[in-house]
Amino acid sequence: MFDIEFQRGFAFAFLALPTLLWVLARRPRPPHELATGTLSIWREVLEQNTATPVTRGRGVPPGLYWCLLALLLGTLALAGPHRRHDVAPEWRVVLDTRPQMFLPWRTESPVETGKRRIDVALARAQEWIAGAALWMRYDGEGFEQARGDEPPADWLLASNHSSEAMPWSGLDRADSLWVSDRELHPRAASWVASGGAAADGVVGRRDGRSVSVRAGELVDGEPDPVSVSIDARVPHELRRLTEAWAGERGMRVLRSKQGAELVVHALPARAGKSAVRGNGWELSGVSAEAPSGRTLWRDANGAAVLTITSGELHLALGDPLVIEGDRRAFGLAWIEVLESSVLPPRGAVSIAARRSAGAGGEQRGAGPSLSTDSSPGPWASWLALAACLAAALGLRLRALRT
Amino acid sequence: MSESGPEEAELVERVIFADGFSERCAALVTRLVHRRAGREGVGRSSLLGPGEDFAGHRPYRQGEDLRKLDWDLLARLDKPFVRVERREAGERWAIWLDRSASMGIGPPGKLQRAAECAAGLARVGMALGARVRIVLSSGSDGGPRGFELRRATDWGGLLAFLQAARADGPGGLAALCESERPGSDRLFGIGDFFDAEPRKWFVHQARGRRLGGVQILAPTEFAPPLGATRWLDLEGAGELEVVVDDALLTAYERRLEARIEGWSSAAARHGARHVVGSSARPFEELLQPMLGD
Repeated sequence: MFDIEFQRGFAFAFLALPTLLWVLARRPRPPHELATGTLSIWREVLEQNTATPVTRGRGVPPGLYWCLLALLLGTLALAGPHRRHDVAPEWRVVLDTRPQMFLPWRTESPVETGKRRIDVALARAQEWIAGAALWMRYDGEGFEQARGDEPPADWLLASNHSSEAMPWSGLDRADSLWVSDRELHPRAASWVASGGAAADGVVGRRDGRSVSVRAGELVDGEPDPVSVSIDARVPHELRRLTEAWAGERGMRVLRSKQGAELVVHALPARAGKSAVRGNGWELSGVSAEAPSGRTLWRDANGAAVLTITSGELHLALGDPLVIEGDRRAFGLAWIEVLESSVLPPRGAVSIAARRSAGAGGEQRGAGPSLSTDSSPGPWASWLALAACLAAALGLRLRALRT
Repeated sequence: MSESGPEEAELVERVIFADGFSERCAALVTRLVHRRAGREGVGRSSLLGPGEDFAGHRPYRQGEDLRKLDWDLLARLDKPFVRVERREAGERWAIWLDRSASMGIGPPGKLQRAAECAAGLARVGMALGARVRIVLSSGSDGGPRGFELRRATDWGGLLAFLQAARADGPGGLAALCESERPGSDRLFGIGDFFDAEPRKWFVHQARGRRLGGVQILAPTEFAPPLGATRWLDLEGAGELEVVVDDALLTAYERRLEARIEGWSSAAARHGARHVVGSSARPFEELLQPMLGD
């Protein structure tokens, strides 16, 4: 009725101890024989207390009752009771959200469906998923997770913030369902692939112009300058250098980070100094709050000074900023950071990913299984506490009687 | 689970004086007799207190015990005088010792402690110049037996006499009250007093004779253990099996207290002393209130 289970059933063997004590306490035993000179007083007392039963050895001291209770509760606590409840099978759905998943899914037939590869793959996956699932996607740094019947809506929006590589192998387990556009080869995980026809379109940017693939050929498009946003807190020296780099590369410098393909901003300063050293140069300034994201530069203490998250550079240094050593080497190092941080144009998909993903397919592995929640819960702690209290009371009563 | 161990049923029928017992008696004498004698005029042992022979008056000296002041004389003469009394030399003391079977209950055995008290009293009496006679109640081996302590050389004989005593037979203080005539100035009774009645004891409180009782009980008689117990009377009064619980124990303690109180109040009425103690207490502690202030 209560679906109670015990983690350590062997602990019930300890019930033999209180049982033995109980039997010993209740066993008939001969009375002590004591000589006394006050037998006449005992007779007088018994005459006035006729209700007192004269029995042999059936009296169990109250203190022993509490000690027995303490042993019983202690045994229960040791056994680790917990309420059993089955956990419904749940898929861990690893959703591929790289740019190619947002390409139009066109079959080899001339019928245009209007669907994207991710839509088709997801529809196939949801045929297997009954109820809620743990949805996961890789954002280039780690896996994001969300539990529900559907993946979060913003995961289904195309963005240029994606990784070219998916670390599938890290989630190759029986309850995983990989959702992608082309055939995968896991050892234990299940997978569905949307397939999809080759799709022409933007593959990148070159010299301020977008580059597209069209019928297998690369074609330069219209001018499409990169937009750069520089936060007002960025130290003057770096702002000047960034603006010079952007001007040289024909980029647009925006006031807002909205629509920018590279954002450079500095975190609020705090007390103390911080410095980072490069090849022949040293950059120092007022230290700032610890930035998040993938660390690019660290100071001498190992603290992050420059990090990046999806086209956003976070600098943990503030004015007054001092560049010492080879200033040219520093400039090159900074520009390398900027160059590698610019996001590709929106909708850009690599040439390889734009090729046909085939007919798709699916392969079901073992899948998630019915599991049982075995967490002990708070019962054992409460039982242990009650056992301690009962033992203390029992020992106290025993002490009082003696 | 046992409430009591088998050692509680042990009987200690013999008397054995440990090494150093004589020294303890000598120390007791020093504490009770010699020290008081050295404080002459300030106050003396109760053995030398009211009831001693009146010797006369002398003027009150600064610092003397006001209890010695003769208030009648002060009222009549308007001058302070104190009463001067003297202990009569050659006083006779009698010590009746209960050695019935129930005195073997212990440990520590009641007879053991009673014999120590008797020897201690005898030593004090000897130090005061009294002739001391110790009488043991009749055992299974015959009638009462006595020993008279006249001089210091008799001390070893007294100890041997007491060590030869065994706790047996039914006769205790009650039997001594029936059979003996004290013929002494002081009479001390030592035993558990359970067989005797106050009126038969205090009938010996004659003019000029003072009575003192040392009632000794075993620890298990003061505080019986809880649980099922068969109580045995060693003097042939039978046995009783009872489960001692808290309520019964309380009733027992009340009744025992009433019995003891009966002896104490009777002693107070007769101007006698009555001391009650456990056999677990040293004999000096039992005699101190008997002989001291």
